[in-house]
Order: sequence, then structure tokens, then C-alpha cells
Amino acid sequence: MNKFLVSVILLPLFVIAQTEPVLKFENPYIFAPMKGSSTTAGYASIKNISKKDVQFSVTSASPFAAVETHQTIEKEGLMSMKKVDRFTIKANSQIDLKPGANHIMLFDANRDVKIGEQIEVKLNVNGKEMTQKFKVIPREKPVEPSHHSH
Amino acid sequence: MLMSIAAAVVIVTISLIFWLTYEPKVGGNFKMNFSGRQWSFSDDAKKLNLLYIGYAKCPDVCPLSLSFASQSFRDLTKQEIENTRLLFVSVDFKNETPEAVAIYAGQFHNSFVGLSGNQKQIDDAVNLFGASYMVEKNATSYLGYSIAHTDRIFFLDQKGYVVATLSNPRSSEAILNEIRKLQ
Repeated sequence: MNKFLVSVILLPLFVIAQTEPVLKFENPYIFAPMKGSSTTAGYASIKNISKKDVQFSVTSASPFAAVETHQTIEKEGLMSMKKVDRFTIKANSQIDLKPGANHIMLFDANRDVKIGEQIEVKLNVNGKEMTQKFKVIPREKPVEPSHHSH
Repeated sequence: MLMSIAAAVVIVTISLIFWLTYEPKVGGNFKMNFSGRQWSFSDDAKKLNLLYIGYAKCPDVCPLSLSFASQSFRDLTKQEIENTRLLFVSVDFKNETPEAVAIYAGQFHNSFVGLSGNQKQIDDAVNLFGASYMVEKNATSYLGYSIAHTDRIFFLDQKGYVVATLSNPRSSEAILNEIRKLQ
């Protein structure tokens, strides 16, 4: 009976512990896709606030047709991009997805993606689904309409 | 006899100076496609021309470099802008149309010129400037490929010769300084 009571008391705590987020995102953003290109990229600083290593991958990000994790590396004097299945963050550590380095790559939005909107990126974090919003920001400030000869 | 020796000394001296100071020129005129029309550098050259080689579907390095270049252009005076241009050459001739490349580059700054072409035109231009690219197939990626490429801004004079380069351009200030130094 006592064991039953202890279980009843501890079960909700166990469930809470299991569902506590293990990743904390800081400044997650996606550059608004540009005309003439079907791809864009997303970035964030991601902290693993748990005491265990965490692996995560990205699985979907509507309205984009696909989303992947990529690394940008310098290889034989060339800048090269390599798809990786997942990123690993050590316990109580952080990784920075930043321009020119690790990033998430998004492909073929099926509608206009507006500056300021939030894109829900679905992640697989240690086998569990998590959703994180990324804010869409402009790649560049608007410039005056062209008047040159082209 | 004395005249012959003097002539020989002069010839040797001139040869020596030439040998010590000669630097082979890299670059020159090249032809591409701008928005569906044939385009030649020599017909469209500015006093100073920046050249970046990449591809429009590149999500990270190319737009990053073009963004920094764009910021540096916004800091130029009207006079400096008139004397300066950035050319973006897409090497992805199989997947990017000349129209798309032109539109893409123009969004970073209205003076940026996005160029494409057939494989020969692109390879000729890339080789002319000692740049390089390599298509890397990746069946597991949605796009199916990525392109490794030189990440460098080439600064060209009015004849297309390289007068300076800037590797991994990650600062608008560095680009701006180089433009002002070379103008």
C-alpha cells in the first residue's frame, strides 16, 4: 500500500521530468527566402540544459518541403556544405548554428514566407518530437528600385 | 667596343628589372549570360569590379558574402558607387537560369549583376581567375547535390585583371576598405 502511494506521488514528477525540455533555443531565426533561390537557412544558439548528451535532427518545417541539418566546411581551399543526420550537444553545453558554419537548410517553400512570421520547426530530440519557432528575418534591407542600364 | 659593352649592360639591366618586377596578370575579359542576353565584361566594366563565384541555391556562404558586400556598397558615396560594381557568377548552370541568377543578385544591391552561362563560359571564367568549383552529389539530401566553391572576392580593374582578392569575406568594413584603397 505504501509502495502504491509512493508510486502515485512520484509518477507525475517522473512524467514532468521526462517531458521537461532539454534544449533551450536562443535567437532562433530563418532568413527570408530570396527570389531566384529555392533554399534558405536557419540559425540559433542551442543549449543542452540536461545532464546527458542530446542528439537532435530536424524533421519538418511547414511551409518548406524539406529541412536538413548541414555543416559548412573548408575543404581543399573550397567552401563545401555537408548534410549531417543530426547534431550532438554534450551535457550542459551549447552549439551555435551560425552563418558560415552549422545551420539548418530549408527547401522549396510552397508559399511566400513573410518577414516577421514564425516558422515551426519540428525536431527529433533523443527520439522525442519537439517544436521550436524560428522568426523569419530579412536577408538584406530593401534597396531602391534599380535604374541602371540592365 | 665600349659601345657594345654599354649596350649589353643596358640590356642586362632592363632584363633584370623586368625579371624582378614582372608579375603575371590573372584575369581578363570574359563572356557570360546576363538575364538571357549575351554579356561581355569589356562592354560593361567599371573602374573597379568585384567578382564572387558561387551559386544562388547556396543557403549559407554565398548569401553571407553577398550580404557583407551589399552592406559595404550601401556605405559608398554616390561617386564611388558609379565607379564600382559587383558581379556574381553562378556556376550552377544545370539548375539556375540566367534570369533567376540576375534577380537573385539584384536583391542584395540594385547594382549587383548576377551572371550565368553555359558550362564552357562558366569554366572559362572560373579558370581565368584561378577559382574553382566542384559539384558534390548527395542522394540523401533533398537537393541531391551541393557545390563546393572558392569563397573569395576578386577585385578587377577595368580590363578584368585581378588587382586584389579577399578570402572568406566576412566583414563589410574589410570590403569597403579594399574598395576605397583600390579606387
